[in-house]
Amino acid sequence: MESLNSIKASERGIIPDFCQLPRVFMLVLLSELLAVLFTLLTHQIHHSFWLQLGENSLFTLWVSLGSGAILCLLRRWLNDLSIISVTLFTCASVSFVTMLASLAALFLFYNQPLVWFQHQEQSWFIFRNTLSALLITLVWMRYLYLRQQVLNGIVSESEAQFKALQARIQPHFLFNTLNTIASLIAINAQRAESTLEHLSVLLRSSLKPAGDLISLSQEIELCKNYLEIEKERLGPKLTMNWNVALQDIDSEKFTIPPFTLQPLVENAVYHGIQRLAEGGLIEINIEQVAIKNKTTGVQIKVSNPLPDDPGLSGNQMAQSNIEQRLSIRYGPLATMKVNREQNQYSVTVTIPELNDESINNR
Amino acid sequence: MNLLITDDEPLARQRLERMLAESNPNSKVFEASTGREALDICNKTSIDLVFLDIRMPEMDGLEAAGHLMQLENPPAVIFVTAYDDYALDAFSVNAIDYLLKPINRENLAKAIAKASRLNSIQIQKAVEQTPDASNRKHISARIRGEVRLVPVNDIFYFQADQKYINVKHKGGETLIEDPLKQLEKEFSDQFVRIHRNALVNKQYIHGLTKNEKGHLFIVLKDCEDELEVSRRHAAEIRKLVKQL
Repeated sequence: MESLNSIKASERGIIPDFCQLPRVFMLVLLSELLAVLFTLLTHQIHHSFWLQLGENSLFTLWVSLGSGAILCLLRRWLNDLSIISVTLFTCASVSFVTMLASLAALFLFYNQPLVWFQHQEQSWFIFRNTLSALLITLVWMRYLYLRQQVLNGIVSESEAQFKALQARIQPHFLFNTLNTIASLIAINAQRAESTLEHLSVLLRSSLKPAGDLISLSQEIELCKNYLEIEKERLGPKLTMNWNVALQDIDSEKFTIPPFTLQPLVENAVYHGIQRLAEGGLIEINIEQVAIKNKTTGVQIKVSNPLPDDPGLSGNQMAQSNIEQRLSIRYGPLATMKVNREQNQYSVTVTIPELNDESINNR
Repeated sequence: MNLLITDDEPLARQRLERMLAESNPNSKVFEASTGREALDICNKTSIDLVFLDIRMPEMDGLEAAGHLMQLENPPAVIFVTAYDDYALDAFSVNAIDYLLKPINRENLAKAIAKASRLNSIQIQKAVEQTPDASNRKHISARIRGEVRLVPVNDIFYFQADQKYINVKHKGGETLIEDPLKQLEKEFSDQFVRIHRNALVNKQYIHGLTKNEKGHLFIVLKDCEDELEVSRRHAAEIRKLVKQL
């Protein structure tokens, strides 16, 4: 999974791939536009427009294709750097290419000996070109930055939706529940009915459009429904203890991605309680925490006993799914910690309160 | 016909029991909530057909089936599960009968009609082809007509003695027929080979000692036997002892 993400990150980086033919074509086209613009602005009636355009085009093409080649070669490396380093490096390399091109132009077109900055005109030529190139690069970088922000937003949104789809009702759970209901129908119709009611609450919320947030109290309700079903199936083996302590936070208004807490509780049942012959206690603690200055959040801790042998490794999947969904939505403010001490297992998830500030900062 | 239902979930047992009472009114139905209980019942009573849930605490259905096959007259086995991708694939490949929960009457009748005895090779193959199956947690041996279980955690060592393997454990000694090579492969996390003829449980290794002839021996915790370490394995064992 990690390698997949890192590949994606470099594909998604700020500098586009200049080695692709359509991009090279666009680069040539834009350079030509620039050359036309520049020629129009500086054209003097006595000179030939076309000759001047030709010289200007050649010059802009040198600069743009030269810079494109450098960015193409160093793209992977550049896209791992911070936005400031990338901007600095890009500006520096474009300026460098422009300077080289200016010197070459002086030498070839005007056949002037390259005596460093002896003539004021020579140094002005070089200075003017480099500064213009620098300004254009800065505008272009701003465009790239905005473009990347938009792209990232789209990608995270669709990733979050995909992950949410994956987190839904487990087939094993569904069929076990149907079996429980089938058994209860003949034994105790009322309990069969209420199990069916609990199941429909779970199914209904799993059919909601992915990506919608739900309130914390709804998610808690979801878990309670889930645990009622499992209690019917596992009997006295399963006991649970809810501990909700939220002072300033209104659990009706505090929103989280759906199926954040439920899969953790499901893990506790499938990998803990169910695999212990004598069963055990699932403890769910939900409390208010301060995450960073001014940001408050909710900390959810699910702990359960474990059998001696490590057993199946399926629980990592649900956990990394939750972790990824949270990090897509909240960035580093949301955290997940797993703690295993001998035969006691606990997962702690911290979710920040979503306000405008934290959305902008992510 | 004697039938045995093995499932850790009371409601699942009750439903199957009810269905069996309808379809096979002349049969006697026994119930067990763990694999161990199932084995105890089969030791005492002659059972013709066992329904085994795959996922159960302590000993899963596949392991329990393996031990049942040690019986003199092993029962036919039908596995029952709600949803197990891997195991079901392995079952169909190895012609092992299974039923899906919630069980429907028609499938149940068909499965009972064609239920056949498994052999240990079928089960072994199914386990190998099920990536999420855990290792056996018990070794089974037939003693005076009964199958006895020895928890793997209680075993000090396996030592090959001609045709048999001697299992030394907290409760004494037992002879089994499993090849040493297979045991080594199956329990490679827990046991280490110290000699051509012996595997030792790593958690009971206390230290090393040398006799007057310069041969290396392993000293065990809670067990007085000293086992010879062959020259071929000496370096590896020394390294292991240092890490302990």
